[in-house]
Amino acid sequence: MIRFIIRRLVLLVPVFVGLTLLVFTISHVLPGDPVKLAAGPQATAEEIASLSREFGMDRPLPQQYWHYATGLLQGDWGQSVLTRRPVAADLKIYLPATLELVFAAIFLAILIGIPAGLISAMTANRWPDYLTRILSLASIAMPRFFLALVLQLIFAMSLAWLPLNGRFPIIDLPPPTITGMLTIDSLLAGDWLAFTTSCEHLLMPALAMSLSPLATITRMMRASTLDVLQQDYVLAERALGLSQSLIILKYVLRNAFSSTLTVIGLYIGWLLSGSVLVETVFDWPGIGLYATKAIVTQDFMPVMGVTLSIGFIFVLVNLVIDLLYGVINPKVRYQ
Amino acid sequence: MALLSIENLHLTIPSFEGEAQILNGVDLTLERGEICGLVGETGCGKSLTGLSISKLVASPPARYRQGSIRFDGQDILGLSESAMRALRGRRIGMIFQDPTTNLNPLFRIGDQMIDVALHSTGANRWSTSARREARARSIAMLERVGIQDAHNRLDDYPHQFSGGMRQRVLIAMALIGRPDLLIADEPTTALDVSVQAQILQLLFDIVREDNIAVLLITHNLGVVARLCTHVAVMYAGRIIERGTMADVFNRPRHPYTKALLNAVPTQKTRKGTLQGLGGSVPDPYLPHAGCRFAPRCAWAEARCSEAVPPETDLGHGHGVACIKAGDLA
Amino acid sequence: MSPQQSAHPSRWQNWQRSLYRFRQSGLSIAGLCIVLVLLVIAVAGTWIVPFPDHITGGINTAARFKPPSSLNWFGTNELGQDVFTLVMAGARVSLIAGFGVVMIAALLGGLIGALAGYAGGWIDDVLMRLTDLMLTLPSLILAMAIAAALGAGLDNMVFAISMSWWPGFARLVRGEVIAKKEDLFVQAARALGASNSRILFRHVLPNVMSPIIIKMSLDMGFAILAVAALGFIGIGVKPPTPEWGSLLSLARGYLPDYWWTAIFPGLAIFFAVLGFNLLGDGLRDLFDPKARR
Repeated sequence: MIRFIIRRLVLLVPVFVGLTLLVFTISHVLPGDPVKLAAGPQATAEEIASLSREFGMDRPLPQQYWHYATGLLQGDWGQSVLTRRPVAADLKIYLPATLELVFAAIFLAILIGIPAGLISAMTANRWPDYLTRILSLASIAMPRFFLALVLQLIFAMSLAWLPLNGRFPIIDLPPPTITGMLTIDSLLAGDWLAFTTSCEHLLMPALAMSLSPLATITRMMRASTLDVLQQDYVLAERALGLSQSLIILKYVLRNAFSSTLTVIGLYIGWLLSGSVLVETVFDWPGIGLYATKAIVTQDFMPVMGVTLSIGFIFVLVNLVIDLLYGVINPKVRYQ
Repeated sequence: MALLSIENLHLTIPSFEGEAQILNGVDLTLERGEICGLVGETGCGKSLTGLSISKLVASPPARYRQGSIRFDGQDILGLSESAMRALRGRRIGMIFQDPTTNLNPLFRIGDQMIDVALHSTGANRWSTSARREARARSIAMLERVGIQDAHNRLDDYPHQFSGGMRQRVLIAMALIGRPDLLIADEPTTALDVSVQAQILQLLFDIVREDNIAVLLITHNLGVVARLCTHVAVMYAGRIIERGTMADVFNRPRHPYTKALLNAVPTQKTRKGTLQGLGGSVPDPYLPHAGCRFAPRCAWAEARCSEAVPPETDLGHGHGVACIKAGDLA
Repeated sequence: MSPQQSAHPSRWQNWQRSLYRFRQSGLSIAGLCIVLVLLVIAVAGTWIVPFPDHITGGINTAARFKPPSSLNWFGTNELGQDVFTLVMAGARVSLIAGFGVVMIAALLGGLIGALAGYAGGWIDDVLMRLTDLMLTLPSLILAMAIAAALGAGLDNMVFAISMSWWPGFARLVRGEVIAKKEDLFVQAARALGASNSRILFRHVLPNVMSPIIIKMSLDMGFAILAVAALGFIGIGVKPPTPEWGSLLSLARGYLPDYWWTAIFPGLAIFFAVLGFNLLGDGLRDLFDPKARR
């Protein structure tokens, strides 16, 4: 198992190098001159040239890439042309906010999706199944940003049950930063009030983001449960008198979940990328909003930073999923 | 009173092709200590007869139109699912055909076996002492079916066992509750020929020791000849001849039984005398009158297609469902 | 043990079976209906809407923020434009953009996948590593960055989205090409001396068309969703183009009082995506019964 992990980690190195190369190439192939935009419309040619020199953009591209890649190794993700802040420092602030959102959404999706899929399969072709299937078809088609707006309209604007947007009230004192995820930090600090406050802020955005993975997990879970229920070993388990609940909750669940696991990994990457939509609606200060601002001003260091960090996280999450798959499935583990 | 008696069992399964008539009046009795071979071609309803005894045929959609199954006096078809569970694994054990697909691949052998052992005594799943006792019984049972180093192998996964070993595990699981009846559905068909003999011998020894009644479902007449005390021959959802080994194999009266026995080569078979059986199993969707075997039967007459032939008792339980049984001695 | 199928199904049984299938695919019929309605609106939209001049930017300041009524079915917006008219006109924008995305993605991805699958060797390795890397990049952010760099406009937006969309097609086509390449008839064609390009274009590609078309129909809904997402963020199309996502984005500022300006464009996106998803599922079941779940 340890050797398996090490081998997989070594295999990540070329993937990471490839990612940096790809992202660097794309961002330099695209038209647009960030320096000119940053210098402003009244800037003289010399001002632009000096700014360009300052950011190393006058050097040949391979040299620029080498500089960028070696910088990454030392934790230097470049600098924003516009704000002059280091990208790494910005990511440290914004990435935890997005991760908190994504993990909360996936958590909700798993928490609801797996029982929903199981129930749907158990009641196949009866009304609970039809209801679940129609709801999940509708959920997949529902745009996250529209759902976010509708949630806001109902629960914040009309009923005033939940805060309209943001992560934490400006006037309140947030918990000391440890992970950067407010819910976890407040729990670590033992600050119950801060915890409930941050949960209140988290609920609607996480709900809006979880709908699509929830629907997909439900559908996957239904399909794989139905598939497992057809297996010979389920009949054998019944024939020897094991109760339906034991068969479903212990034996079938693990089999069905192992095929659903891959989808969860793919969705984490997809949510990281798509969080920008929900962040826009809820003014959630994550990497999505950060990237949007940078994209509009063509400030490409932050854009590269966001793209790369999402790519890295996606690759790592899928490694973890593969390892979990090995934990569930002994055949994989013993290879 | 017989341990198991099936009377006039009719089973239909609907599909968009129409209503498939799977069982058309199965009659069968089984006593303790008897090993009854249920033989017939693929698709004749052998497996569904076996599953019906444990009430494992999903119903609906399947429907039992007529007949009854009595196990130790209880009417199986009238029992609730929880009452049925009290029989499965405790009084009725089952073994299926393919040992590679009948063990859950994601769980240790011990996980599955201990759950079965716990169920067989009705012990509390969460009691540590009950689990320890179940584990000990599992190890003992695995040793009895010839698995060495059983207390370590209990923690292995199915893919770490060979096909024959897996079938031994499944036999151990089926017998751990000391059942009165064992239903074995083609238990050796998926195994290598060399392993088949070992598994059959093992099965035979244990059921003899424990005085268990066995319904051995197979299409292999050689297996029946070696192991069974009784034989029931099934054709198109009906048992057309049944009786002791000696009666049915040495004095077959039904044309189908005769044809089946002629299709098996023995040491005495001379070159060129082995006979196959023409035609194929009748369509279960088509309505029929009379004997279902008549279209393939060399002795068929016009009256064979008029009414379903009743079973004639030829003495000491040798029953034949053929109107010409008397003529075909 | 499954009951054996009848050797000679009667006409009655065939008819029954069709009816059975039809009932099973009730949802795909619903999808087909939604898509047909969308197509009619997209084609005839400009002639059948009540206020055609609002599509091109005409305003009516006297009728700002009118709630839904018999005159303005979906109410009016901050410029007094009829929301119903704008939503209807948006169908054409979304359909063209969505179709453009899957078309370009299928062509580009198909080309790359076919090349990789057919050539094999290092070409395959390089192209597939590139494809895999592209799949790990955040597609929406990539599309936003490309669209912003290219400047506003529907065509730039379509191009930007398809640049993050092609890897899925590349993988699909590569797999199909590799499977078909070894098929007997291709071997036979090669034995007869057909050239490489002839084998690829005359024998292999026609045979991988049906999975491509199925994927295109399955992707169409999500492409429409991606177009609306970019419009919602405000990158890509700009008003007065009546794009559903940007209509929704503008309406955000007028919630909760003028809810109708947001709800109807949002519902339009929802139904369009739902319709194409249902139709795509149905087509897949029809052509590829094995993939049915």
